[in-house]
Amino acid sequence: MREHHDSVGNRLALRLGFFSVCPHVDGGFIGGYLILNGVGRPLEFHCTTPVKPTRTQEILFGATLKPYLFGEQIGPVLFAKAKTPVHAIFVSQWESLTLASQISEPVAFVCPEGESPLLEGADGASDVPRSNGRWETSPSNETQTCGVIERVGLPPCQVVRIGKNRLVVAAIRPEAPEELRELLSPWEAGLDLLEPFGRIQAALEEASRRG
Amino acid sequence: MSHQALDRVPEGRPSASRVETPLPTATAIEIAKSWFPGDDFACDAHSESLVFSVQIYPTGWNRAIQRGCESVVQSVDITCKPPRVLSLQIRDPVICVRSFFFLADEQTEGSPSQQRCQNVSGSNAAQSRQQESQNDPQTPGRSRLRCCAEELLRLVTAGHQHRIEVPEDVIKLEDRLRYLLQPSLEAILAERQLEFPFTPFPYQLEGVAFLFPRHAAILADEMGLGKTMQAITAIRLLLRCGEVRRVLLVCPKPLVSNWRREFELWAPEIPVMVIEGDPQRRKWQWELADVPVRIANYELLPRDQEFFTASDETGQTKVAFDLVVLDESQRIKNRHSATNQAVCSIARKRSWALTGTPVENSTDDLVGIFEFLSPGFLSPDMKPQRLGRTIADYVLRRTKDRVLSDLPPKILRDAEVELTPEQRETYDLAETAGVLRLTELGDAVTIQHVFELVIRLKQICNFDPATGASAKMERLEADLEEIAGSGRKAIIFSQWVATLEEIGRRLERYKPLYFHGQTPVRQRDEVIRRFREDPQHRILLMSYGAGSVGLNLQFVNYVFLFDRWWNPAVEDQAINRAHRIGAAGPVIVTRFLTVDTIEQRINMVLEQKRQLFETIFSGTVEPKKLALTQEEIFGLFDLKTMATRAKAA
Repeated sequence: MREHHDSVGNRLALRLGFFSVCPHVDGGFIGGYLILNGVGRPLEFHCTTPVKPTRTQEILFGATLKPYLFGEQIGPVLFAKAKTPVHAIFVSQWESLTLASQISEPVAFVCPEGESPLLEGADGASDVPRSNGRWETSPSNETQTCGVIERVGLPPCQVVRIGKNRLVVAAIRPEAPEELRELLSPWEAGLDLLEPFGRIQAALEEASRRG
Repeated sequence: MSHQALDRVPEGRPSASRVETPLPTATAIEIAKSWFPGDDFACDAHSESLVFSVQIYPTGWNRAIQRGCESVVQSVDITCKPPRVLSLQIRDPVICVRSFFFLADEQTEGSPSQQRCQNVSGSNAAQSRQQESQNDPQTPGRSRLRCCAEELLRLVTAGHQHRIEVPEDVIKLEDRLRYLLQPSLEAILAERQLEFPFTPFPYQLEGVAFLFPRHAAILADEMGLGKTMQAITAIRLLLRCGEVRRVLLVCPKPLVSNWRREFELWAPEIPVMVIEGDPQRRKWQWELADVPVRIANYELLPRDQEFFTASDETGQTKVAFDLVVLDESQRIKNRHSATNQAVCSIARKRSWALTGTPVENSTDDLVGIFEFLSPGFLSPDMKPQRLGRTIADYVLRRTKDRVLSDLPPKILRDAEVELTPEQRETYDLAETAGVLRLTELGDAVTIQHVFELVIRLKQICNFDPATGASAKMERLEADLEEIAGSGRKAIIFSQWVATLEEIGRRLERYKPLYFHGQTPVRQRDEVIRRFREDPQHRILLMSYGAGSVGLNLQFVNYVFLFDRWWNPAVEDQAINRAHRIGAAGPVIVTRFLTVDTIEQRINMVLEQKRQLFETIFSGTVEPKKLALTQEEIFGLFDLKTMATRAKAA
């Protein structure tokens, strides 16, 4: 029993950040950042107003637009508002892995069930803007070497499996994947790192509906 | 330009003199390469000597040749205007952020009730619960395994997750997000180490998720789906989260002990106090602090109203609850009744109603219940379909056929029997004489007069008072022989104690037990225990009033409605004592109906009431008649009310 309380106590002290960006109905993107304790209770939630890239940005940033917007603009603004320091940040889009160059905490992309951690989307393609302003896909240019993923525009990454979760960890700091493994392994049995993104999406939809 | 151009002099050009001008071939190639670094010079290009002879002829031009060359310099301005530069500034987008901070509710873990919870959930409590679950007769068809945190986590991992619903009446975005961002109910229960004697059904967790955030709610599940468990679990969770500290549960008096038992089973760590005893003791019980859950009965509330509405010297109500739950809330359907007004006068923050039959007679029933939940929200003149839409977010109703695919079926048999000749003779005489009397009363006839005649005739349909003949009894005895032979058990319902006793006398061989209004409350649990455990007792004779609510008799396979109640909802309640979660097999319900009698006419009215219920809770077509009106009651005997007569005149 004592051991159980210690375990719960440790878990309650755990702080995990979840960052996700959703397309907004009026165009652009809306970002959400949820901080949970180790048992999944919400502590903080921050969301942005819609962020719409300009046509110039779409043309000039090309395939790097999303990494720029998600990881260098939306993410850092949200994290700046947070009051609770977190042990790690999980993202639902691989483009957000650029966050790793902005912050010191480990950043990991949680790979959805049934998708390869090496690929974005089912066809392994990344988004680039088309001249008509709509988004289409083009072949991805990534490689994997000994568990390390390299993708243009992103920091080097490493695939880590914790319980049923497959994580693509930005390895700007080489020790980041191991830190993450040590942090989460004690609770890997029931750990579902994808689930909080559903909550963020519901909250962002609610926030959009209610203005 | 190629390197060949440097090596050769164009042919046909005249030479003035022979001049030897050696030029190393290699140098020319190097020059060319330096000029055109990208060109692919052929390194294997052949070399030719640049030493060639020049012959000079005297042509008179020699002097001119010897003159120095005149050079004319012409300057060409090759500079151009600097190009215009268009600078596109890539500004970082301006991003506004909305922030929401939630109370880290581990702070509430240390609340007094929580501390007590942890203490009680030690080894003794666990042992007693284990014992309870082993003895529990309620769910013979289900696993006896306790549902612990690991089991709940397994449900989470398997994707069985129910989220807490955000009620429509929660307006503020931060309040809505607070609910939306919570983990699934299964995860919350697992994390808080809430154990259950049995694994809850998914629809039950859905019910908990429905109740948990709501300040006004009706859980209107069909009888037998476990409203009690859902309410207790929601209360338990609210207490654990520190959202409530004082809860009052109000139920009919016969169900008080049932609720206490259910709390011991589903939430053994929660201290429960039953409000009872003399007025002085009850006053003390109402005012006592630090009691998480109190149970009171409806009959008590009007008498104790002065206790729980009393104010202190600052004008504040001394007794206030965070949550008041009404079981069998149809008891307050009449909003002018003393019970309704007493219930509505209780100071509270949240109001929940539990009922399998939120509409028994007319839409007024719902209006009465909503006077407690959200005063003024409904008005009596609302049409049923609009009413259904208005209350949609406040009501959760599931039926067994929708949520319990594995529940054994309920087989309804309408046993239409002909009266025996003796009964028929008595019945016809009584009806003729009764109608004659009512007619003679003229304008003085009241609904009470009509009711008296109805009751008289219904009793004759059961037993002929002169001879004791009974067509229903003959049929019942035939059925019971077969049932007793198979070792199964049956409940027989009637609205009269006298009828039950008469049936009991004739079925003495089956050692029937009685459960009706005259059975002392303290003996009722024992009656149920004997009926459940003692194979000698195969029949339970129950009155609708005493036995239609709150009892769990899943081990019964046969239900007989010896006579019909006025209200189909009460009949359903009675049937569902047996047809509920844990039912071991099909439940066969036999509804006796004597043909060509008042019973048949009443049955038509009951069917119309069923239609009303369907209209409100499933959006079907609005029925023509909403309730049993005075005209309809008079119409049972082709009589007209005064108003109808006046209109006709």
